[in-house]
This record gives sequence, structure tokens and C-alpha cells, in this order.
Amino acid sequence: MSKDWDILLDKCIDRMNEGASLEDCIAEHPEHAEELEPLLRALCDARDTCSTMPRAAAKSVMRLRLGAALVDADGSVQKSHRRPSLLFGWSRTKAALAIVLVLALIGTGLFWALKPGVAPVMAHIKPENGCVINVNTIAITGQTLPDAIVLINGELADIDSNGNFSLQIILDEGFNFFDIIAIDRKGNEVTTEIIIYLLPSHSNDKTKVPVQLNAPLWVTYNGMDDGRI
Amino acid sequence: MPLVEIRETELRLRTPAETGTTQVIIGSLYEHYYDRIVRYIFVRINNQSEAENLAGDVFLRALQSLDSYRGRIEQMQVWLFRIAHNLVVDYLRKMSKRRDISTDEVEIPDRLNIEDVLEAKLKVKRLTKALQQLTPAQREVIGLRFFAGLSSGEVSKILGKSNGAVREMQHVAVEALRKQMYI
Repeated sequence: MSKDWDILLDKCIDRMNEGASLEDCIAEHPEHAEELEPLLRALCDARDTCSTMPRAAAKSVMRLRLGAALVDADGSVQKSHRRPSLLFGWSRTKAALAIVLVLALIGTGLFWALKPGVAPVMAHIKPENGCVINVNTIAITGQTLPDAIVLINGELADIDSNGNFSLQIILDEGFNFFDIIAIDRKGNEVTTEIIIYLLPSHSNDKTKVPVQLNAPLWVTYNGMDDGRI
Repeated sequence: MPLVEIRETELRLRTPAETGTTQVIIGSLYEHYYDRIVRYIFVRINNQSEAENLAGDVFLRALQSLDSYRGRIEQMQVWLFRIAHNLVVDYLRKMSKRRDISTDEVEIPDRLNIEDVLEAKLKVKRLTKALQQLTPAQREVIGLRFFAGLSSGEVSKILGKSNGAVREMQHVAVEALRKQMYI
């Protein structure tokens, strides 16, 4: 088998990968048209057969998985918001100087009363972000500081003395988005967003669930306006 | 539409330093390479659903490894397809211990009408059958070269072979595919 022929076929495949048609390639090498045509046609037929892949739905689901993985990788799901502690709108430097002065005047007791607390954290949130579920009633659970309150899409969750919280939720079919906000008694808050996918009742995938998809459809990322990927 | 939708120039504009976000890099890679990776994996494993899933895994693996990626940005597609290649090898190893892959698992998008669906299914079955008659190496080279749209130089890097060896394998593989497709 000649190396020249290998190189010629290689060039034709390069050309077709760049968008040239079968006819273009044949026209560029008329002296080899007879040998080239069946080979290139087989490749074109094979490629045409695969042109319907991937399915749009599969691509969306994979985009979803990737979005969730990006959120996890960046840690941006948990967005800790500390309430601004500006004093009369002063700059941080001015405010700091004023606080030092106040401290000197009225002592450490008042200092502790005014000091902003550490933002609460949330952990062990279940179900996991991006999971796929086949039952429509679930409890969203997790753990935060014992003195915090937790709102899930604006509804107050039950919380015990150890900071374990839970709220029963009825899911809609398809994607369900939840903002989980924990606020401590000093007003510091932390927000976590999760997305849960409830399989449609006619789905054939029930044998596969629950499955961790790792997956929101899109994410707001690093403050970008549109984090859609 | 050409299979090669993005090349070095486009990716070069999206380096981490210029954009500052992992998301943009991974998102760009996903949008430009997911389809090609699905087709490449399909050629290797003959199962559309699994190909779609595994192609997603390629990007998750890429995300995990992005920080340690030390190659040039324009070589990222080689890196991605090497990840795909490794995942396929793992998958085929697992599957060989479990069962044969059924061609009935091929799925066609439901946007087509019934005649189109039947015709598409027949075509996919014929291609699947043809691919099954090729050696794994032949499928690999056709997948990377024609379905993934890589150059023979890039394929040689992934397979660890010389350009000449890749071209020769490619020729034999295309001949074999032609024979099997039109039996």
C-alpha cells in the first residue's frame, strides 16, 4: 500500500473535515477519482448517519451536569453575604477609626455587642443539588447554626437545637429551583441554591432513580451577568 | 456544516488569563466539542445513550483537571479527546465483563416523522453493524480522524504512533468501513 496514497487520502479527509464536499475532493484529484470516490462516500454516509447525534435533550442534560459541577468546583453555590457595616456611610477607614474611638470610650462590652457576627454556614443539604427524583413530596434538610432561621423559597423551615433544619416540599414535574437562606440573629446570612428534577410521571427512567446528576441548568458565576453555559 | 467548528484562533481568545473564569473555558469547550465527542464515542462503543453520557463525563473530568493542564490552549482538543479515549477504554473494559452491546440501544431523535425515524434507524443499524466488523484500532482512528475531526498529527499524539502509521491505519480502516457498509 503506497505511502503516497495514504497521504492523498489523508489530505482529502482534512479537506472534508474543513467543510469541503465529496465532489470538491474528487474534483481536486481527478486522476484518483475512481479510487477515492467510494472511500470518501463511505465516510460521508457514516458521518451523515451520525448527524442526528447527540439528541438535543441529552445535550441539555449534560449542560446541566456541567453547570452543577462548575458550581461545585467554584464553591459559588454558597454565597456568603455579610450585611454592610458602614457607619453613617463613612469609608471603611473612617468607620474603623470611629469604632476604635467608641471602644476606647465605652469599653469592650459594647464592642462585642456591635461586632458583626460570622456568617452562618450550611452543610449536608439533601437532596443534593441537581438530583433526579421520582417522588413528588420530599423533605429538604440540612444543618446550620442552632440560632439561625432558615427560609426555603420564603417558607420557614423547622430547625432543632443542633441546627438541623427540614421542610416538606411538593415538587412540580421537571425542574424545581430552591433558594435556601440561613440568617443568624445578627442578620448575617448565607444562601444556597439547589435544583431538583422530578421525573415526569410517564417517564421510563424510573428504574434509574434516584440518580445524582450534579446539575443545574445554568449558574450565575463570579458575578457575570449571564452565567448560562 | 464542517465537523471542525473551532480551531486554535477561537480558543486562543478564551484563555483563562483573558477571561478569568474556568466556566468560560469549560463552557466553550463543551459547546464546541460535545457533539464531536459524542460521535467519536459512538463510533467506538456503538451505543448512543452511553456515548452521550460518557461525553458529558469527558467535560467533568476536564473540569477536574483543568487547573493542572499545562499544555497550550490550542492543544486542548487533543487533551479532551485523550480524556475521551481513556474513558472509552475504561468503559469497554467494564462492558466486556458484563455483556455485549446491543445495537437496539441506538436512539434516534423524536423530532423526525415515522418514515424518517425508520430510515434513520436502518442507517444507524447498518453503520453500527459495519463498525462492529472493524478492529478497535480501526474504529479508533476513524472516530478520531473523521468524527472528531482531528488532524492525523493530533491523532498520532493521542495514539502514541507516528503520523505515517496513523495514515496507514486510516487507509486500511476506511477501506474496511467501505466494504462493510455496502455489503
